[in-house]
Amino acid sequence: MHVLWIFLVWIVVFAGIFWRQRWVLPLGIVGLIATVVFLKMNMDSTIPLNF
Amino acid sequence: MTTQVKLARVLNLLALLALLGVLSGSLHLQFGQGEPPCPLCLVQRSGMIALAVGPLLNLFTGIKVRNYAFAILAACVGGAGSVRQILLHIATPGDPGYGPEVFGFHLYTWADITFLIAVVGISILLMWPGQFTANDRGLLGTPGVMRVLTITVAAWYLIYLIAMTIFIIPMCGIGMCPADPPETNYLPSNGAWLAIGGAGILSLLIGIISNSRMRRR
Repeated sequence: MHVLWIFLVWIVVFAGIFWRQRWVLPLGIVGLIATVVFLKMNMDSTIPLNF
Repeated sequence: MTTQVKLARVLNLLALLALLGVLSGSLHLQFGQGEPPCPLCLVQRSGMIALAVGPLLNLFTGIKVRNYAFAILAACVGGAGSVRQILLHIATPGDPGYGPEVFGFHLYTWADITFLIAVVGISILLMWPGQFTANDRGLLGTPGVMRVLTITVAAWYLIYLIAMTIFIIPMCGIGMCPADPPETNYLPSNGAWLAIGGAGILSLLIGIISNSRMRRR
């Protein structure tokens, strides 16, 4: 997954805040999950700190 | 609207301004000092952006427990990124850390402190039931300084977010972001501060114009 998509999700979330849309929090949760996936994808070092 | 709701709104706005300050510092490092964000730094940025969603929703749609809960989740995700980066540099002997130090700490350490303060601050705010009992519906229906400031801050975040997103493309291309991206100077140091100030002035104009247009309706 490309990090660009995460930031595009946040742009949509912020646009949703301006228009007080109900889907802002659910889409925000999607953004958070995508961020965790991106974090996991970058745990590629050999040190014993990966989860 | 009760005094407690007013006070809660002011606290939410102050938290948003503090977060804007942290993001401004990181953008100045990126554009003014040629320090591009690493993948873990992008995780922390994503966490900071997400952290702002809770207080903004509190101001736009009314003070709600779920908005604070989302902010705590965001702080946990961003904090995971910063703790990971701190541990990464501790575990490697002789590692000087990533990027420059600011007041003796690297940016990821400051990010971790920010997320920790957010979790503690929001937890304390959640112990204050008076702000939830007033059935607040947000301040968009209330013209005035608070509405101008709220729209200004939201617009400022959106401008930062668009700038961050645009500059991910030359840094990461269409693949994975490089672990140690090369330094790229986009602007001189003063130029970066001017750009940050310009974003603030543009946001203020958006806030003032939106406030007056809403009043006319």
